[in-house]
Amino acid sequence: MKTKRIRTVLSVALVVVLFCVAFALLTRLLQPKYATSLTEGSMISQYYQESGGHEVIFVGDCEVYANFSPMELYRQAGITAYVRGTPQQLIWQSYYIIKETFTYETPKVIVLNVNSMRYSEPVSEAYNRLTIDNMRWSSEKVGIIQASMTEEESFFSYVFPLLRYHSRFDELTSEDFRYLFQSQYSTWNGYQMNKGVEPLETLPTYRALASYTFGDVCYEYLDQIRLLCQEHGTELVLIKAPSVYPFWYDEYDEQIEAYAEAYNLDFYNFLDVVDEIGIDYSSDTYDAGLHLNLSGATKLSSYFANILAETYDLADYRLDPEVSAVYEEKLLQYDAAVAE
Amino acid sequence: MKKVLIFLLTVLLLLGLTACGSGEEADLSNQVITRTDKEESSAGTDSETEETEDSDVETSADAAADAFSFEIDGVTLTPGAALDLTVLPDASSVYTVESCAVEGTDNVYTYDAFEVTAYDDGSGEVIYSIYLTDPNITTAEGLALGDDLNRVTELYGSDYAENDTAVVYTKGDTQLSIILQDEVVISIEYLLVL
Repeated sequence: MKTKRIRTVLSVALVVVLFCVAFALLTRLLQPKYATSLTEGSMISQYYQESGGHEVIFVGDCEVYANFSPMELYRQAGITAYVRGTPQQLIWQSYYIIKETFTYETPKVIVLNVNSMRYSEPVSEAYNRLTIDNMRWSSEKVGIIQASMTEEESFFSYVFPLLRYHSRFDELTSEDFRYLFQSQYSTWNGYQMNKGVEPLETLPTYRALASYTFGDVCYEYLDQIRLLCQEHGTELVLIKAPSVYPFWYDEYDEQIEAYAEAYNLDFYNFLDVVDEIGIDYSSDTYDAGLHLNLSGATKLSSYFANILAETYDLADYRLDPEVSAVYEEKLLQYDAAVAE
Repeated sequence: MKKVLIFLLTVLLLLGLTACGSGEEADLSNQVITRTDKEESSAGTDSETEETEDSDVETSADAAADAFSFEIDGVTLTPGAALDLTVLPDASSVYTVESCAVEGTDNVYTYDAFEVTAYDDGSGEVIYSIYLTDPNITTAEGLALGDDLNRVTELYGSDYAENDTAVVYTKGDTQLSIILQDEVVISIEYLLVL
């Protein structure tokens, strides 16, 4: 009798385990892999392979991951940096990503691109997925999901991605099988290299807006980011990357300057110093001024490296044998990719 | 025991195969989303992205029935309608706004008196907005840049939504967004509500 009961319990347990394994496998198979296309979706998880030891962390949207190269920051000033940027990263997403970062390391400087202050509502599921899907589970992931969901999304579809991706059955490609159990990363400490050139020749008409005032929710999250950094003794530095479109209005700039002044923060609007940086929009952009290409990112990173090194008491890790060994190896690979 | 196993595997299969979510396509790459947010291209709509599923683009004539349309030189442009470049003069410039990550682009066509922003839904370009830039042209109803609020309400009535400094009229899936500064019209834009 007892043996039969044990056998029943074991059998049920085995079935449950088999079910869970099959469920997990199916989920993994159907989830987008972001390995060879839409690679921006893997940016968030690449950090977990390399977390720790960064004195500077960049946070923000494509204006950080396309425009700032940590390899150049190291080359120029021995700065160890990582870009935790994701496409269309919203200010509340930046908050949770910074909060998560503090569970892995405590950088001396957090650099926040303020372009996201213009968005006070969740933008789209597609961008949410690229930022959130591959985050590790944590209270920060729960928070970022709740803060980011559009009306059409459900929390459970993030917990059980199969609910969202079940219809990918007929869209599976070889990538889904090749990267079933492995990941492919495409950034250099979070920097996405692009060597293309598409000159800026014209811009749309400068348009009036109904309102230039940042939303309350944006200020609330900016406050939380500031307090979080303060709590960890980390310097919060605000920047506006030199992307010329969508327009960064003077009214936007005035609000950020006022905020920075009120809380004694540094704010660098690189749009104001493009000539000093040496950016030439006829050759330093791959999409007519929206993002810098490798040439532009190298100039901008070198310029900012000097500011960071001179202003924020950062160590020169080129003098640290252990760290420099790692970075020199990375630089070799980086330079090889540059030369390709 | 076998019944339990069959039940669980059936549940798994159903989860995998049935439309248990919103029914939307899961392929994010099919969504057209660009950085042209509504602040840059509009003052009225609630959607900041351009997202399309299967093409459901009307012709200009069809779309104009219950929509705001802009007319110039015998050409009618309606948000949501297919963009027919052959009926328009050559644009003085075209600015292409690539998506940050996912596939898709917006094109902003600049003409002497107006700009047309269009997105590609996979089957062709669809008009997202028409933005007037010349005070010498008017809307079909007669509104021009530089007019005052009284003129706006005289032409379009008082059934509008206020969005900060903009008054927004909605007709079907289109909006006419009019921004005023000191009660003077400084911006007129036709928009597709997404």
